[in-house]
Amino acid sequence: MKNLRLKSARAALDLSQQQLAEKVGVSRQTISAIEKGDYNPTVNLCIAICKALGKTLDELFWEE
Amino acid sequence: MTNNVILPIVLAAAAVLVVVLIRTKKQEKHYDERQLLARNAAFKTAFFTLVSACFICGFLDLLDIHWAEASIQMFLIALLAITVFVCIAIFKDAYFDASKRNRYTFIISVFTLAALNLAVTMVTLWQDGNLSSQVYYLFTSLCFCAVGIVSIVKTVKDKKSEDEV
Repeated sequence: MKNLRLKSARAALDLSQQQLAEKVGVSRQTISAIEKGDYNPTVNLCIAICKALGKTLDELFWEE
Repeated sequence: MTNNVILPIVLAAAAVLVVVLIRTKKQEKHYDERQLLARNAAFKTAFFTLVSACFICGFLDLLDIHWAEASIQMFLIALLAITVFVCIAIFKDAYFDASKRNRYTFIISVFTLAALNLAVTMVTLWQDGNLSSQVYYLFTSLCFCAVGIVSIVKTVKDKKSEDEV
């Protein structure tokens, strides 16, 4: 399932996938795979992404 | 296998080892968690390719179909497994590490090596109905070509997805 919340949170900060990837220390393709729903990140990576985007885990990764 | 084949292989292996050691000391490769998973999957596929190829060669040997010397078969199987790993890893974005690198240099190097190996193969390939040791170079060339083509396809796909973002 696509993670549109992550994509929109990144876009809101005007960050490219590459910039976010550099902030959290992964490859651009990994960010792309998470946004497309092709890869489920570990909790550590989720936390790093949340910190980089200033969001909580619930806001970005919790599914109702 | 004759000495004139063993010596270049040993020299090439030594040269590769030195380069790898220097590069490893210079910069540690950093793969992220997705890349590590993808590399593990690629290793697994390469391993099963290796085992399957060994079984096929053994089965052909049982049927008295001798298409090459045992040493040549061993070399080809090992090279096949390595190529499978490299191609899958490149395709899953898990060959190059997370930092930005110049892939074009890699692609050019791969095709140069493929051309060099192909040139060496121009000498007779078949001897007494069996593949001669020249097949090393032909197969190496084909493997480099495969890696190069996969790299180009992946680079083009990456460019497209970057443009979409």
